Amino acid sequence: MRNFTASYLLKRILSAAFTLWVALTINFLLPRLMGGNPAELMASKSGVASPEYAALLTQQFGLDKGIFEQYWLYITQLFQGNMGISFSTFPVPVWDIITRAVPWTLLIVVSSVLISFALAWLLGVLAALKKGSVFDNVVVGISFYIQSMPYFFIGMLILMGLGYYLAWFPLGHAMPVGVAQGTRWYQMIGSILYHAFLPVLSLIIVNLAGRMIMMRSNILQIFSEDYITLAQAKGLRRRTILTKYAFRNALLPSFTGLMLSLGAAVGGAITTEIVFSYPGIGLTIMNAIMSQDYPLIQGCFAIIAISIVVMNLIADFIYPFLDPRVSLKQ
Amino acid sequence: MKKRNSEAYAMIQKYILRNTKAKIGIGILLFFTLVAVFAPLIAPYEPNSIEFIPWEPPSAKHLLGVNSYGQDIFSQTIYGTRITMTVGILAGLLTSLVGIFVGLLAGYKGGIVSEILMRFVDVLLVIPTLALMIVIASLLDGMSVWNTVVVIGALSWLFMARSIRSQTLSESKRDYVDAAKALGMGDFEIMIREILPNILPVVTANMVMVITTSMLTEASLSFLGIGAPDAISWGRMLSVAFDNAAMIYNAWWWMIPPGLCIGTLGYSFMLIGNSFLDIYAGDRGGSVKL
Amino acid sequence: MNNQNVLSVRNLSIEYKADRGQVHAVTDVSFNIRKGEFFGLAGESGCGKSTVAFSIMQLLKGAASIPKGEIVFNGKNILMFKPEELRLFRWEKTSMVLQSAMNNLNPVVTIQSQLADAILAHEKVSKAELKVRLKELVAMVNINENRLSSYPHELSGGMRQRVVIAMALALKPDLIIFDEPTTALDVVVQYNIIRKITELKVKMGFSIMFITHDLPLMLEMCDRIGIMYAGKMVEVSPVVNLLNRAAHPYTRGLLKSFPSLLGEKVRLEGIPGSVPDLITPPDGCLFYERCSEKREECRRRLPEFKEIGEHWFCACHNTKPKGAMAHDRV
Repeated sequence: MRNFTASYLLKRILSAAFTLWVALTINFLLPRLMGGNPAELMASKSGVASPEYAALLTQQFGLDKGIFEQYWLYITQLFQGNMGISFSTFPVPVWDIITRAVPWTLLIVVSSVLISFALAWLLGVLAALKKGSVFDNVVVGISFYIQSMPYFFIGMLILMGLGYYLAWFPLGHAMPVGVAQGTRWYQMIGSILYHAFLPVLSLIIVNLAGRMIMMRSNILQIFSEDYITLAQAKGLRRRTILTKYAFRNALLPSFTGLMLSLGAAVGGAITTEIVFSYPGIGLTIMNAIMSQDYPLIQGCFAIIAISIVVMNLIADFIYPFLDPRVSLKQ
Repeated sequence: MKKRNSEAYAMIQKYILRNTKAKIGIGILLFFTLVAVFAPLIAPYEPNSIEFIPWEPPSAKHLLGVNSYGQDIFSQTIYGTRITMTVGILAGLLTSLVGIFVGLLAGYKGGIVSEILMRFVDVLLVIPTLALMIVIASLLDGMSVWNTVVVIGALSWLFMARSIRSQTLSESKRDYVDAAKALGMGDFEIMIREILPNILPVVTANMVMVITTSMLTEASLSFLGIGAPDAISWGRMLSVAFDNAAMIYNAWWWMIPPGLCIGTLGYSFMLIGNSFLDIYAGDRGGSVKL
Repeated sequence: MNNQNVLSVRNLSIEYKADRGQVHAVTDVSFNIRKGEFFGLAGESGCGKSTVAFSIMQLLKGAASIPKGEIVFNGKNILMFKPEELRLFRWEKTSMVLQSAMNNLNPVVTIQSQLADAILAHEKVSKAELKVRLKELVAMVNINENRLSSYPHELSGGMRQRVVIAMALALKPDLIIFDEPTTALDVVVQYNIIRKITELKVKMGFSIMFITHDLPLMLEMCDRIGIMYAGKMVEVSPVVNLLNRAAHPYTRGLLKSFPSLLGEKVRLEGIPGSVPDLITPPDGCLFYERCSEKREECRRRLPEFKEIGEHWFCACHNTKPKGAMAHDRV
């Protein structure tokens, strides 16, 4: 714990809290800038298109109160886990909808990020070691090409090939529609993994491309450092140079990259979830925005912002153990 | 002036004429530009005409088949080049304008200005940009091509600003900046006339690569049903195909062409941008941190 | 000092591949370093002195090749070494201290572990013995043994460079190459390190190849100095000769461009002109353009690098043999 100073911890926590506050405030403001009276919209959608019903809704969600009062309500209730009641799926609380969606998104995002990280690491190292070889050129070329294609197109290709054409995997959803009585827990897990396979595969492919290129350039950068030259001059064995001197140093920037990319990965999961009609947060945001469901939009944004800030904070705590310089630099 | 010209020529020679990757990229780009310009001459049918038999697979009459509305997909793909390229390039330019300005300012001024700008960028990076774009897109009254450009441009500059900032940061420590300060040049003048020309390859590379990102974002927005409804872009073709169950009909000819077109055109910009970065990094004796 | 050669470089040429063609970075360079000798290598930046040093350790980067020449170390041509022979040769026979104190050490590993790496790559040592040796090593360069568990960033620039020197001594090599070891350090620290190097050399009897463009410093410490220009050795001479009667016009120019520490104040002179293009070098003497004593012969024919006195060599058409001849003693 020698590198773990209290001031480092405090600074990280404060900075995370600030980021979270700004993000949550933006979350609060944006839906209110969306225009159109959501109460009226809701009323018209519900089929009882009367002004009285709209007024009732306005009162129920506090939309008639001042903006500061709404803000205060939003913040205090958020901390109590109360995110209001969804308009579009009235009267289900937002909290319930989100807690139902989040695990699915986490499942496919985290597993695809971790797997693609490990694969990118391997491919990046191999490509860097064989820089300029056919293998290097092919891997880098393909990665650039994949990076230039939309996430959902990759998803569509996979769904078309493995789902519809070969029919090896289910075409959508996270679980079979009706779960039969007496299904064992391991059968459930098996079924969940089976359903998650295609969305995860397509997220792995898109994440792998960008990350592999980054990893490769990190390693090449490290190879040009003086301490690698000196390690060679020391007559160290190749294995020692690679593991102890090159990889450990190349791992550091990619570790921060891993954490930062979670935000991007969640964003990327939105279209992927739609392709596979996977019931995660992406699909939920999409539905919420299409029906101008204020509380639900806020809830989704809040949950994404909070989880990403928390994950970054965890990374900040792990980092000093990997890089002894960190606590002094900050 | 003559010296300037020869310098510019040397630059072009180094970054383009001796650069196989950039030449391939420019070749692809040129191809698509010609397709976009001469679309009415190349496309055999009106892209929106619905006179053909739906779901017809590729044939000599319809090179890429017919979609569920009875529209010729080859013609749509040809016309799609126009919209996708326009949106991509315009949004890319808008992104670059903001990104370069913020990056230069934050990198050169340092201190509190940099701190505030970068903190703002960090916070925005936390929120998935795509979701934010959807919110803003629904804020606007109906999406037109221009709205799409503005929405993409307004939110895509974050990474670019970071990249330009870190380059500016290392440039502003160089001697020529001190010299310019000693000559009494203003901050703005130094940023634009001294630093910018020196990081031009990085700026150009970023500008070019951000076009790919913009094209992809346009495709995602279209896929989510909030693109410009009257404009046939490649993204919109994919979206319509998905919504009309092209997969169930195994109508690969409806999805593969627009998807591969986005990929290939995007790839050309990536090739150009990356080869610039490689050369620039080689000059500075190390890789450029992005 | 005896006359046995530790290192003997014969007609060494090194080329780099560049966009425009082959760069002749080093051409036909020959010199010897005797046992216990303090040999300096001087010249403007880009003259090839570091390239020569790196070729001795076989650490030239990918695009470099050695079309011609021999590097003979204790009677064996190291260019013929097999990979494992080379690995063992490195550091055990020749070690090196690189430029710039900043990046010589792996930032994420303790200095103790980095020192140990050098020893363990070559010898089988018990843990206890290793510990004793590490303590001895750091003590030699006046670093407290409780610093062993520090990370590089916790030490000052001068300390880090002393750690590298300790590392260079770890296997008691016959030759240590110093490639501008003090450039990034301030003058006082620089002086201390140089004094330490001299002191250790007297105690342990290794030979030194010292590279710098700080000529006055070199004149003070070295036994003999080699002067390189545009990839060629123009003069190798004992220091005493250089001070009063340097043979090559370039050497004289170089000496005039530094202030004398003790002598009277004179106007400093640079050498006008610039180094020729090393991709398409001219036919005659490479220094022709800038030489104040050029003749027609110099433009047409490359001067031969010949012995002109005891341990004294020069490549200039104008130079005649000086002093007593001593062919048999080289």
